[in-house]
Amino acid sequence: MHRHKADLHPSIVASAERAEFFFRIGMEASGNEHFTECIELLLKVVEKNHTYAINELNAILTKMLLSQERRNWVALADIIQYEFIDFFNKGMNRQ
Amino acid sequence: MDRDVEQILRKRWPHLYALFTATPASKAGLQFTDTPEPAPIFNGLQLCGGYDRMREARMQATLIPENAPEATVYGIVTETLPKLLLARPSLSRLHIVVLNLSLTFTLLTALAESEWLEDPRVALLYGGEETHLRFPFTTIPPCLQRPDASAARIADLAILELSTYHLNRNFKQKTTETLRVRIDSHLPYILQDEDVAALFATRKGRTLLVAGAGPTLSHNLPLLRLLHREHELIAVDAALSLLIEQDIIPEYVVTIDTQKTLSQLFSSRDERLAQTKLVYFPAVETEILSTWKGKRYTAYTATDLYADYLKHYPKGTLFSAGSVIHPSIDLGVRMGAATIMLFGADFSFPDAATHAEGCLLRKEIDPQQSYRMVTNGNGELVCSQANLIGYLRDLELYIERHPCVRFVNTSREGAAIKGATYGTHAPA
Repeated sequence: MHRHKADLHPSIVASAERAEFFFRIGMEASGNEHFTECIELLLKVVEKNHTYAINELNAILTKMLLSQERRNWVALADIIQYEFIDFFNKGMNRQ
Repeated sequence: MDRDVEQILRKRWPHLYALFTATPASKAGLQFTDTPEPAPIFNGLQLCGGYDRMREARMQATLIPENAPEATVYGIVTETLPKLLLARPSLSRLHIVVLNLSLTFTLLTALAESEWLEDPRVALLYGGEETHLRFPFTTIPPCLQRPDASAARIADLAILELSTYHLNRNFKQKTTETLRVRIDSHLPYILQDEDVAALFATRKGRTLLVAGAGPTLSHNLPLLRLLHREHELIAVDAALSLLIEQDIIPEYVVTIDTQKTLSQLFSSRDERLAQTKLVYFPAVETEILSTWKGKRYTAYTATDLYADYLKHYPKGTLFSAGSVIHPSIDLGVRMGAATIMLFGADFSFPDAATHAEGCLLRKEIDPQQSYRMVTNGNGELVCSQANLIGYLRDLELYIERHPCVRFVNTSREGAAIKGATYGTHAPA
């Protein structure tokens, strides 16, 4: 496994979990801050590693960004917890 | 429709039940997610988690201290959070504040969850009749995004309170040290300049005009010009470029924003400003102070940022809650005004723009984007955004604390300001 990727995985999941928590309790600004942090970390990993199930990840990201744009925070929290984090926990290299 | 729920509502909260039934309860727009725990979707907004409601409710309940005897929940969708809170032995009262009558009645009767409604500790209230936040509280966040017009204020106050944690943390962590360095570099100004308190109680019983930089300022320039013949004008910094262009020279200008540069606000080199007094907070950009032609007055806010300076270099404090309009209005009040007439205090984007035409900060907005909405003086919804609504609600609380001062809003096109009347004439 790529060392850089391995280092960042826990940080991505931790940021995503914090974002989810803040969205669910109505603290949008804090939720967005952690969500942005999570996406920035993810981009760093993706650009170093091309073996990801990129199509699946793209589909999840698109859904998340659409929910964010629509200020649909609970939907975003659901996708973060039950699709995005799940994707990481199951392992990203599934293609 | 569930008869049990209806009977409980009618029996326990007849007033609220009358409000429910007077409002058409429609299921139009209510759909459900295709998830393990189907969650209602209303007007495109998912109202609760679709996978594990109990886990979500536990998170929301963390905002209520474990041993709190009372708690309030703003918004209601399912029974999960109320039941979780009611399971706490220390809880003797649970206020549930309804924010959308039609949606709530539809949900309560459709989901048919009646058990928690019979708990004697539960009190159902309507947000449209609540004037202040109840603490401690938690929320069902999507309900804050879809309130009835009359409940929008209490929903906004809850949003504002939840945002305070983020704002304080970020402000304190990221900017305080940088700003202290800047304030220290301004000590020569602080030491030499007048104290804003020298202006306090100098205009007792008078009418003072306060010009914000909202879009409606440009609509009301003829009225402002007329009233300015008799009454002094306090302008926010961002309005100054437009006012100078119109040859309306204010007696006072207030500047507080630490992020704005002089070139974004106005040209202080204009000779016509020689008699205008600048009331400033010492964390503003240096060039604003160094180029000002007229007299300068130092003011502080009652915040941690200025606490040490207040102790060592005492100056008067002015109310501030994020917008320059707050200290501008407070300056007028502290000067002793009996009436404050507001221009361009819009807290919204009438004319699809952020500022009045002629203001350097003006940007046009696209009303099709996802904006927060607020009710204007004509009862219509206008585009706004979270920080502006926060400033509005803080101003309303300020107005409430000053019952002896009359606040007159000169435009109905901006956000309605609770506690301000409408008018175009100063009292005799």
